[in-house]
Amino acid sequence: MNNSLWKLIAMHLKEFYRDPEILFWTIFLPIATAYILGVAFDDNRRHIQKIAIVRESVSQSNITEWQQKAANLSARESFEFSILSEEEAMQRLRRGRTALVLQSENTGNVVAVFDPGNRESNSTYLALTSLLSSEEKIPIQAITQKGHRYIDFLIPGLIAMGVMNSILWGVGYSIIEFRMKKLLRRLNATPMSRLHFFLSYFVVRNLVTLFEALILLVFGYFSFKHIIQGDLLSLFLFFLAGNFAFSGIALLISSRAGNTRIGNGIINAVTMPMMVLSGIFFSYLNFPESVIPLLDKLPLAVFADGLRMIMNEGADFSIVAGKAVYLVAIGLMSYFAGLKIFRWN
Amino acid sequence: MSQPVLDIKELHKSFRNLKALNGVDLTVHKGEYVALLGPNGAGKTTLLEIVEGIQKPDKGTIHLFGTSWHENKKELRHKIGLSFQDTRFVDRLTVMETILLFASFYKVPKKKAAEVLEKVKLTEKANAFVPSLSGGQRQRLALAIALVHSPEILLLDEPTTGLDPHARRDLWHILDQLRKDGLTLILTTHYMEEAEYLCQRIVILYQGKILADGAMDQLLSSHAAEQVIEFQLIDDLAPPENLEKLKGFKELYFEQRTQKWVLKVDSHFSTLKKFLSKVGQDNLRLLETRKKNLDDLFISMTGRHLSE
Repeated sequence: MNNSLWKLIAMHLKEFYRDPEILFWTIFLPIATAYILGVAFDDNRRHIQKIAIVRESVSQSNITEWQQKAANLSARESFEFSILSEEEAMQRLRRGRTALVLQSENTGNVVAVFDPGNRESNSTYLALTSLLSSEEKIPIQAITQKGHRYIDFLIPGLIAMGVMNSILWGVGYSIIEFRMKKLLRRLNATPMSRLHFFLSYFVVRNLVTLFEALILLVFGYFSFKHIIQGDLLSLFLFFLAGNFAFSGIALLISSRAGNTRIGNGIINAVTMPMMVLSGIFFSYLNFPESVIPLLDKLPLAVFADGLRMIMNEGADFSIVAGKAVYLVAIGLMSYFAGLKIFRWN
Repeated sequence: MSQPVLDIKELHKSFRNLKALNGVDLTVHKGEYVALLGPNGAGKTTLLEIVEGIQKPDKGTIHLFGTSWHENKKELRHKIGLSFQDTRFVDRLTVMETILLFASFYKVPKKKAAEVLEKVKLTEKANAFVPSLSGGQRQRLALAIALVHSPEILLLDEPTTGLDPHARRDLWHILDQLRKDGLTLILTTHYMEEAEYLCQRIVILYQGKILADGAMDQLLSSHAAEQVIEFQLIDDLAPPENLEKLKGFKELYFEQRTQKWVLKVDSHFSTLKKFLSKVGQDNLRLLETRKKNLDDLFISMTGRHLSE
C-alpha cells in the first residue's frame, strides 16, 4: 500500500483509539442503543396489546374468550383489558397508555375508539379483530375530538424533544467548543461574572426554544387544528421548568469534555436513549413493565407527559406542579454537580 | 527602589513526573520589557500562567503589585492584560463586537474600544468577522482585548508564533509604541530577534530554571564567545585539524541544521586572515562573519538551540 496513504490511515486510527473517551462513547453508545431498541421491539418478547374497555360495553365472557383465542393463536401476542369508566379510558387514550378504547354506542353496538393515524392503535385493532368471527366485527370510531388524536399526542412530545435537543446541543456543545478554542480559559481570565456567563445561555436558549415551540404550535393549529386545551400561563411555567432541567443537564455534560468529538458522543449518549425511551413518538408502555417506573422518571418523559396534560387535558399548573418541581430539582442537582467539576482550562 | 510589579520567589511546579518549574526567582519593575526565552518545554508558559493566576504553584510565592492572587484576585484581574497562545474568538462576532464584549467585563466605556483598535491598527477591520482576519490581525485583536481595560502589566504568551516576518514586525512595532504608556511587559518567545528588538531584559529558561537574566549585551559579553565565523567547504571536506591553534579560538563545531561549520573566536578581525590561509580561499563555498547572538549563548550553556 502507498506509504503516505498508510500513514494517513494510521494517523486517523491512532486519533481514534488513543482517545479513550471517544473509544468509550463510540463503543458504548451503539451497544446501549441496540440493547434499548432491542428490548423495545424484541420479537421474542411477549407483546401485550393494551385495550381499555368502558364498563359494561363488553361482557366478561367475551373478554375471557378473546384472551383465550389470542393465547391459542400465538404465545407472544396477548391482550391486557382494563375495565374503566369512560373518562378514565379516554384519559388513558390521550396519554398513550392504551392503544384503543372499546365502548358501546347508544344502539348498544361496540365500537373501537382510536385515531386511525396512530400506527400502534391500528396494529392493536387489527390484532383484536383477527380474533373475531365475521359476525362479531367491531367497527372503528375514528377520534376527531381535539386532544385525543395521535397528532395531539405527538406535538407536545415534539416540543419537549425540541427543547431537549436545542438546549443540550445549543448549550452543551457550545461550551465544549469554547473550551476547545481556549475561549473559556480566556473568559475566565477576565473579571466576567460566572453567573452571567451561564445565565446568558439560559436566557438565550429559553428564547430559542420558545420560538421553536411557537412555530410547532402554529403549524399544528393550521395543519391539524391542534388546540391548547389548558391555560397559557401554566404551559409557560411548566415550559420554563423543562428548560431549566435541560439547561442543568447541558452544563453537567459539558463540564469536562475537552473537544467536540467527545462532546458529540456524550450528548448523543444522553439524547438518543431519552428520545427512544421517553414516549415521544409512541408510548413508553411498550417497554417491559419492570422498567416503566424508571422510564416515566426520565426528564424528557416527565416533561412530555406534563406538556400533554396541559395541552391535551386542560390541566392547570397545580396538577403538573409535582412534575415541575421534579424537573427543577433535576436542573438544580445537575447544575451544582456540573459547576463542581467544571473545567475552564 | 519602588515596589516591584512582580516578585517571584522559589517557584516550583510539577505535572505528574515532569518538573516544569524548579526554583524560579524573578523580580520585575514598572516599565520593564522582559522576554522569557527558552526552547519548547523550558517552563515559559507555565511560569506565565502562574503569573496570570491560571495555575497555582506547588511551592514558592508570587506577588503582583504587592498582593497575591489568593488575597486579591479581582483587583489583579483589572491590572493585568494577557494573551494566550492560539486563543480563538467567537466566529460570528465582528472585531468591534468582540472587543466590546471583553470591555463589558471590565466596565470600560465603549469609546475605549475604538481607541484600542486604533492603537493596534485594526480600525478598518472593526466590522470584519473574526474568521476573515489574517493570523497577524488575529494576534492584534488578541492584543487589543488584552489592552482594552488599560492594564498596568501585559503578559503575552508567544504572541508572534506562526506569523510571517512582516506581521511579526508589525506587532513588535505596536508593542514598542506601548512603552511610552509606562506599561510593563513580560512575553514568552523562542525568537531571539523578538527578545532583542523589544526587551531590554532577557530571562533565559531551561528545564524549569533560570539560566541567565540580564540585558542582551551584558548576557552576551559575560557568557559567550565574542564573534563567529561560519563557513562551508567545497565537496563537504572536513576543515583542517589545526584550526584550534588560531589566536582567540573558542570553539568549532558542525551545525547540522544550517550545514555550516561554526567557528567561535575572540575577534574575527584578528583571526580571519590566518583562518583563510589555513583553510585555503579556494576550498570555501561560503564564508560569513557575525556577532554572537543569544542562540550562541544558549548553545554554549546547554548544547541546544533556542528554537528546538
